[in-house]
Amino acid sequence: MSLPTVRRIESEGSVVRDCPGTRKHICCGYKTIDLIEGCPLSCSYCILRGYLNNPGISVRTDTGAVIEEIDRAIASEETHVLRFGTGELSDSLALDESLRVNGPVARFFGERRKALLELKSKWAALDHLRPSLNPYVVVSFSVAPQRMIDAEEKRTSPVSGRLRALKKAQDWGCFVGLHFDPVIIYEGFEKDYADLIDEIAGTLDLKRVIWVSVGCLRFTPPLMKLFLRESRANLLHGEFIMGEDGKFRYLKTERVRVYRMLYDRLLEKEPGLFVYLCMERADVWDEATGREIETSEDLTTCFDRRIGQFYGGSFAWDSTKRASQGT
Amino acid sequence: METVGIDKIHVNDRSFCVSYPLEDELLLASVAKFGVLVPIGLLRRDYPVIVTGFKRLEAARRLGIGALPYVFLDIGERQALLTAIHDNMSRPLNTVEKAFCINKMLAAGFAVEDVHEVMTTLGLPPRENILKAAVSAAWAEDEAKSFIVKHQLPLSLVEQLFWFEPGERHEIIRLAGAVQVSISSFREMLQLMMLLKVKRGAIDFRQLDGAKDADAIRRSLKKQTHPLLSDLEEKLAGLLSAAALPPHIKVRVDPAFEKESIDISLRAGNSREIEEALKKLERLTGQGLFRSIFELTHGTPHRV
Repeated sequence: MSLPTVRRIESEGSVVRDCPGTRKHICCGYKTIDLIEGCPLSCSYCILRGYLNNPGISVRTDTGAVIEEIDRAIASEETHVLRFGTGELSDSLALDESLRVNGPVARFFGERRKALLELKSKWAALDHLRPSLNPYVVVSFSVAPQRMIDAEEKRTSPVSGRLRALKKAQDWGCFVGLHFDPVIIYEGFEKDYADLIDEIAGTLDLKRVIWVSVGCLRFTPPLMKLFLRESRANLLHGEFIMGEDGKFRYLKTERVRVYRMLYDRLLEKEPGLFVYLCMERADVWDEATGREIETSEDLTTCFDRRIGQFYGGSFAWDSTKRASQGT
Repeated sequence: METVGIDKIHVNDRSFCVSYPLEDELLLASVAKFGVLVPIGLLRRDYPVIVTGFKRLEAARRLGIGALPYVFLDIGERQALLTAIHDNMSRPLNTVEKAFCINKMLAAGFAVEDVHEVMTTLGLPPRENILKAAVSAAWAEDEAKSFIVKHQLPLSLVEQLFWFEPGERHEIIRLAGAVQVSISSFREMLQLMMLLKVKRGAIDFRQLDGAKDADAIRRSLKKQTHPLLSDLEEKLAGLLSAAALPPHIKVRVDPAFEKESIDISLRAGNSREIEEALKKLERLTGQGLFRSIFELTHGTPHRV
C-alpha cells in the first residue's frame, strides 16, 4: 500500500481516552489509544470522514510517554478489566508494518498482565507483530461479506485474508475478536451474512473467539450528505431515522431483525460465544438478544465475566478487590 | 452631463453584468418619471462596453430612450469587474447575482483566495462546494435561474438542485412551481428526491403529479424512501383517530419510533376534568389502545 503523508508528533496532549460512545446508547466501556489519527483504507462509510478534517495521518512517536499514560489508566482502574484499542481513529494494522507503533505497546500489555490490548483492523498484515504478540493482545478483524468489501472497503484486505490472519493469530496462541460492524442492509444481505458466518465457523476455532460485536451502519448528518452526493446506493439502501444521539440509524424494527438474525446464527455455530451489540439501546438489546442490558455498566460487567472465563487465574487481577465489589 | 446614444455602445456585451433579472419594475417607473439620473459606467473602447448600469440601460431601452448619461472608467478589465460588483453591492443581491459575481471573477482569472474574500463579503461561506454551486447557478438555464430568484434559494440548496440531471431538474422545478414551497419544505423535498434517486436510480415524477401541496409531495416521496416508517405512521394515525381523543388529552410518540416510551399529557382546569380524563384513559387502556401503540414503538413482536 502506498503510504499517505504521515506527520510524526510527540506529546500533543492525552492519547488514552474513553471511547466516545454515543448519547442514550449502551457503550462497552472501551478505552482508546490514539497512536495514529487518520486512515489510509478510506472506507466509504467511515465515521472518520465526518470527524477528522485533516486529510493527513499523524502518528505519536513518543511511545514511552504513551505507555506511561496507559499504565496510569490501568493503575487507577479499580472495578473493571480495562480493554484498550488502537483502532478508533485509525486502523490498527494498516500502517503498522511501516510505522511499527503497536509492537512496544503490545509488549507492555504482555508484561503488565492486567489489562487487554485489542488490535482492530481490516488489513491482514500480522507477521511483523508476531514477536510482540502475547495472550494479553486480542487480534480482531472487522468482517463483512466480500461483496460489501469490494464496493465500500476497496482498499482493505479481502475477508478470506482477514480470516486467515485471525486463524494464524489463534495458532500463535492469541485470543481473537470479530466485529460485524457496520452491518449494511442491501438486497440479499441476509444470505451473504449467513454464508460469511459459515465461512468464519469453518476457519476459526469459535471457542477461542473472545468476543464478537455486531453494530448496524450509523453515521452523522454530514456523512448522509456525502453519501447522497456520492450516490452510495448500498449504504442508503435501508431505511434510516435520526437516532436520539443525532446519528442516522436503521429503523429500530430493522435493526432488531438484523441483530436477531446474526445473533441466532452465531450462537447456532457456538452457543458459548459472547456476542454484544455496539452502541445500541437497552430495548434493542432486550428485543434482539433477550438479554437485559440496561446500562453501559451492565455491559462492561459482561466483559469482565467473559475475560474471567478466558483468562481465569492467569489474569494478574486483584481478585480481593473484585470480590469486595461483588463483581 | 454628457450623454451617449445607446446605438453607440456595445449593449450586448455582458462581461461585467452581475444583475439578474435586468427587468426592474420600480426602476422602470422611476426612469419613466425622472429619466436616467445616475450615469452608466463605460469602458473606453471603439464601441464602449458597459460596466455599471445594466438595469438602467434595460429600462431606457424598454421606454424607448435613445441616449443615457455616462462616465468613462479608465481602468483595466479586472478592475472593471470589481467596480461592477462593488456598484451592485449597495443593494441586496439575490443568489443568482452572487453567483454571477463569483463565476465572472473565476472566468476573469482572479485567484481563488480573492474570490473567497468576495464570497465572504457577499455573506457566503468561502467553501469549494458553494463555489461550485455558484458556477452551476451562473450557467443555469433561465427556468432554473428564475426559480432560484423567486424562491430565494440559498446556494446550499442550489447545490442540491444541481445534483440532478437537467431533465430531472426541470421536473422538480415544474412540480415545486405548481405548489407553494418554502425553503425548508423545498429542502426536505430535494433530500427525499436525492435519496429516492440513489435508492432506485430514477424518480417517477408521474407519481407526484396532482399533489395538492408541498406536504403531499413530501408524504408521497417519504412513502417511497421510508415505506416501513410510513406504515408505522399510518398505523399510529389510525389508532389515534379511532380512539377519538378529546383535545385536552395528547398522546405523543417519537416520530422516529425509536423511543419505546410514549408521552401522554392532559390539560385540566379543575379536579372534575382530571377525573374525566383519567376515566377516558382507563377506558382506552382497557380497549387496548396503548398496548397497540407500544407494539409500534417496540417495533417488533417480542422475542420468545
